[in-house]
Amino acid sequence: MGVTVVFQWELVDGQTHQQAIQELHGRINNTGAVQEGKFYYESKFYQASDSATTRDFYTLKTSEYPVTVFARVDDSTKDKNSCIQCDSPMESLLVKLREFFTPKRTFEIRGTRFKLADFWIRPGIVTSSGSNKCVTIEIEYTPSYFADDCWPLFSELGSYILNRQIDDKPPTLMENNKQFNPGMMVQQYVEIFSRKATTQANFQQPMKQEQIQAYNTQM
Amino acid sequence: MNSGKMGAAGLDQEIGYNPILTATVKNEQGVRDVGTLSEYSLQGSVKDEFVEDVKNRLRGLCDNVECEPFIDHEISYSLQSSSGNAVTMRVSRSLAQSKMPWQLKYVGALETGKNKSCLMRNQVTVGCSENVTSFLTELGFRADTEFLSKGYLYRKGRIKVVLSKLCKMKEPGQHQEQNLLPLTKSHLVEVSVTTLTGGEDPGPDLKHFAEMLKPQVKLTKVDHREIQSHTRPNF
Repeated sequence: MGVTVVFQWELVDGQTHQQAIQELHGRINNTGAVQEGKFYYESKFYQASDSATTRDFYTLKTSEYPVTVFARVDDSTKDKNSCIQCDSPMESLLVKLREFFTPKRTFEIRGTRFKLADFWIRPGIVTSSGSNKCVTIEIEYTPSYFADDCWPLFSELGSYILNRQIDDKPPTLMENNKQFNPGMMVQQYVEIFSRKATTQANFQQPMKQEQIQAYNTQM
Repeated sequence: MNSGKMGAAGLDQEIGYNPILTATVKNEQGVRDVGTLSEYSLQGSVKDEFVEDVKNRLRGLCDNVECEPFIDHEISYSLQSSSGNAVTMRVSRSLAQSKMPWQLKYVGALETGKNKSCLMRNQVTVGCSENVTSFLTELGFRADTEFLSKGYLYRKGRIKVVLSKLCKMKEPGQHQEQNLLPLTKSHLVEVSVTTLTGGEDPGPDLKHFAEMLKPQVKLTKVDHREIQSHTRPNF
């Protein structure tokens, strides 16, 4: 595992999620990445029965770490390290807490995994209750644990794949030479799951045509 | 490469990984979790001055391997619902082997029915990262008790024998020798077998082992609820 950043793809007018993922596959193929199997994520949202004294939380399971369950309190405070890693019997333990925390929603992400040198790229569609919610692209750079060190690489690859300029600084939770841990990946997914469909704003404008051409010539 | 074709084909294929199926078994009544285990046990105690006798006895009775010394730090957390129901979770970690993961444990109600030859309780134990305490606190759990269990672990086949001394700490989190206060003047002796829930009752095996430990230790079905309801000095 290395630094992992999750981006959300902004759908252009009239574009379906399937079309978006096909476009993404095309762009990823153009970078020279090769397809290496599938990936799967499943997240459950547990709602506290008494919101005055207890908090909601998410669990996340993934095909990348098949015997591990991640759990994180539904909290927007990014500095807090409240994501725990557990062995898979955690599911059985949560059954015992059903009176206090009930599973309300399930989110799934399925897709094809690509490998480009030291990068893993995982584009997938987020589904919940059978309907498509959004498209995510996870980029992992395996040799580094510090986002500040490798952000220019992320910036270059991410900008091309996403067809938009991405931030020139790593996400806030990885800034200031914080060592990457799997909880940071979980937090990024939880933020996407908890984001309402109407707040797909805060995205920067897509690259202008001349920027794309300049970028393609560099590649 | 034709990315469109590849993408469509990729999404239609089944991945073949489903953590729900690996974590649970479906039966006619619905989904049954397989992480729940049943722990059958008998408990007793021995005065500190006779511990060496028990150790010698266990050395002869148990498997011919060195007993395993352990120091476990355990904290119990509880959560109470508005309707008055409560659930308790235990967090433990090994101080002897600091690289071992922390453990989060759910222990169900003790079953001491007359037709049972030993104590039985359901439990789920999960290995987890060290920030489990802050996770539980964030969720709303409150720390109840904290103690240190220090002793030796013996094995005889599937029977686990624990000979331990329970201590409390003068200050929370300070587990150095000089900060420990023994809770009693005796050692706890517990023999237990953990099996899959609904499996064969290992009670007779435990009873047989308990017989062999007499007269040094008398292992019985100790119902803690009765002890808690009676005020007993020096306990």
